[in-house]
Amino acid sequence: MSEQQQPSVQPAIQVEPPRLPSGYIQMAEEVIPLLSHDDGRWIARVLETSSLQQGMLIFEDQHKIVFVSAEESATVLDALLAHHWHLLPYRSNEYNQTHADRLGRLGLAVHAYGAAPSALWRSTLPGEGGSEA
Amino acid sequence: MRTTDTGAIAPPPPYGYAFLDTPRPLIEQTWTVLARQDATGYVGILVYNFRQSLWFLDAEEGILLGAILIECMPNLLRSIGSVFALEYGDEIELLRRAWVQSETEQMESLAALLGPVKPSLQEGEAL
Repeated sequence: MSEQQQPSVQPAIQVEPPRLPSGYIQMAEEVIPLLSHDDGRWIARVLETSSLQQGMLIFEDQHKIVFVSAEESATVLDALLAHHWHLLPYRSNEYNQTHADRLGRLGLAVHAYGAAPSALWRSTLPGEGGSEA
Repeated sequence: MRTTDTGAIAPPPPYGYAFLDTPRPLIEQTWTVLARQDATGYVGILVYNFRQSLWFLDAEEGILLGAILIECMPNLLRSIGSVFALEYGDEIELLRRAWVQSETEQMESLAALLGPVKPSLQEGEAL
């Protein structure tokens, strides 16, 4: 970063997905940046060769952060959908724009799942108790 | 210790985290809870077991993980063992329904964008 001075207007960053940590084989879907390209964490659906289990791998610089098996993924998603309304107030506008498509689909899923914002929770959240879009 | 709706006793918070909700059991002695990370102040999803943090995702990462899991859900469900599917039947059914709903509404909104498909053909008119 320090070797070259960046121009005032930076071109769009093109980042190649990193290689997976050893011991994991990527399945059909793409490798997805978990937050943003400069955050460094990526997620992919993989096969863990030692256990022959499918699941989701979160990794960074070819190092595993966590492998969540398919069964664990189901329970994690169950919890994430249930907590969805609690997490929403903490996202940024930039995040909303970057991930608009995925958030739209997730919103539909949350609706179908039946998770509803808790009145108690909303009253404790910042800014009028979680005034999400 | 906190007790969940199902009567299970949740382990106490691991060092460095404050619970913001009642923990929910995952599987094999792991739990998840909405939590605040003391060091950063971030609110997010903590997965932990007895007194040990296993991983923590801030709110944005947690939301995105949920969205990605929804996309991958059909493949993930296919690889889930039958014993697990039986034990967690209610949750699996909810997830399956959530995925189907999101897919159906995506297709419907896409169809609405595209407009009617060749109505003249539907009415039996010549091309």
